[in-house]
Amino acid sequence: MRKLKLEVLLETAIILPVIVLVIMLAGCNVGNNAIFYTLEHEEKIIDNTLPNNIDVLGIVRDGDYYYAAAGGIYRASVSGRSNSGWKLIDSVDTNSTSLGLCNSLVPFGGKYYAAFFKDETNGNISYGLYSTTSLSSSVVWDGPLGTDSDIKSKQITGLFDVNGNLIVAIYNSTNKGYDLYYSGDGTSFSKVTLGGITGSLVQNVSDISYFGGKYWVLSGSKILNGTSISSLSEIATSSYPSDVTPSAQYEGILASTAFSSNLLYLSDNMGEIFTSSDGVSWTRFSDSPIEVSSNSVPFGRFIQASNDLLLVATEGYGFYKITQTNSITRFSDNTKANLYNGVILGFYVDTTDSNIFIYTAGSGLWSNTLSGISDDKSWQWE
Amino acid sequence: MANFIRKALPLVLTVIIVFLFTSVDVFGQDKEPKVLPVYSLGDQTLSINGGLFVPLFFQALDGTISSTNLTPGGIGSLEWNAYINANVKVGLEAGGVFAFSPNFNVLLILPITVKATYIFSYYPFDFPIFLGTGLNIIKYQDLSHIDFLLKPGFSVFWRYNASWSFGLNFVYWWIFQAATGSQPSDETRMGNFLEISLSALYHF
Repeated sequence: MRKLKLEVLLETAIILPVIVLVIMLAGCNVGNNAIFYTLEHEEKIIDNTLPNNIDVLGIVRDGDYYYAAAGGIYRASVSGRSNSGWKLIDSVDTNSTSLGLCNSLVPFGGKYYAAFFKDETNGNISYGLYSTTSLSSSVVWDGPLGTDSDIKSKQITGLFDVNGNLIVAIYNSTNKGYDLYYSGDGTSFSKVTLGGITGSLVQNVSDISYFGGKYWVLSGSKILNGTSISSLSEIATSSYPSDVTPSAQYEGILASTAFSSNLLYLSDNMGEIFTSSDGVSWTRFSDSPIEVSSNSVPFGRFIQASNDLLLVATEGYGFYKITQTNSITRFSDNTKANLYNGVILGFYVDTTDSNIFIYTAGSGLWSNTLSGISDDKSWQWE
Repeated sequence: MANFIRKALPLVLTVIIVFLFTSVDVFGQDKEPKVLPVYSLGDQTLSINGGLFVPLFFQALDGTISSTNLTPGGIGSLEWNAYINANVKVGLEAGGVFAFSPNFNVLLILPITVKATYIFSYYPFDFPIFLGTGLNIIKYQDLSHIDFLLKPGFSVFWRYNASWSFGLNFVYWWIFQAATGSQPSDETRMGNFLEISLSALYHF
């Protein structure tokens, strides 16, 4: 017993002072993150009434209201949404039948186009593209648009308004791929011929842009272009970015006029952003892919917020700001965790009232004014 | 929240103290003869602690005081001590703390400290005063920091029997979080917190 007590004495008398020293030395401020400072300056997020856990898949403005497609279509006053909030509107067809869930909403040619899908009582799912001349608290949609030989009742996987064409990506259940259709009038649709592609595209269309007199379409690791939307072809191997990560998939493409330059911006899911002035030779933003905690940032779509600011979406890391042709920084307000770590699906700029929106998968809709965009703390949750 | 704590604290303390003294009377009916335990070199204790973690304020190096913006949180810890003599023991403590920011983001604190305690005894009560020091691992969102921590405090323990004591602890936490690396120097903060916890302590 006496021996045991002496051992304990040795433990306490020798080991503990050593531990104290080690702890004092090791514990002296390791890390480069001002957590207390961050907490001190954290502000409660302004949160309007739109549910915060929804996927927002598109937003448009009609008159004095915004409309957000998030399964249902939500409506809020442009100037009074902090008071009156967002309200779910009814969407029916001309037979007064409910149209189900909306997964795309875009303006085109003075109308609004929305893709709907609905579980039918027979177990099937009905799909369709619909249009309306105006949006309100209750909308009667015309459609489904197209014919059985093109897009009618097909599963819409993408809806784009590019250079005076409404471009519709659909899932082709026959060959398990994706087809593109286009329309100049929003009424009749024609299939896009895909040169060099057997059958349909293997992967869905992630983004489309118009630059240098050509349409540019991204589908997985493929880039297609063409001077007419009626016929696109995969670009030559030599026209792909030479230093792209081999397994990369292209996610976003934007014809930009920012920074007094006409450039085509291209992003991929491996932390890479490229620019090109001709669509043939590409310059990568940084020597190596952009990473967070050793993980490549999966970039997504772009938007030009102003003449000196581009935003680029990410899948899981919020968004990045491009403030010069070759300068990119991550949105920094990590107290807004749902935006900072958000999966960003897209952006919408309302130039009339100078508002910008970021729509996300599972983290709702975020907004800011264009003038306040430089302050990362000024984003609010719709 | 501060008002609520200010109003509720006296009530909570009153209830706890009344309970402790009431317990003495109740258990005082025990027929078994009481033996005054005296601890000495080599005796050891293990305790489990849990309670309330109250954020007080942050202080900058220029003395400016600011709100922590944190909610009251929870704390839990395990502690081992060895007696040097009947009144002094030294030990180690490791635990965890959580609290929430205005946007309900969670702040996690993992303190690891060494602790020296001096015990005043008035049977069946012990009144330890102590000082702990060590490192404090803090995690908030994707930020992390390891800081220096000082924890002075005092406790009131009631000896239930020779093996078990139960007590109430009041511990002041002082965390020095210096601006390091690329941080601007004016981001240095000293975090001040209060721990109010209950303990179950086992002597062996």
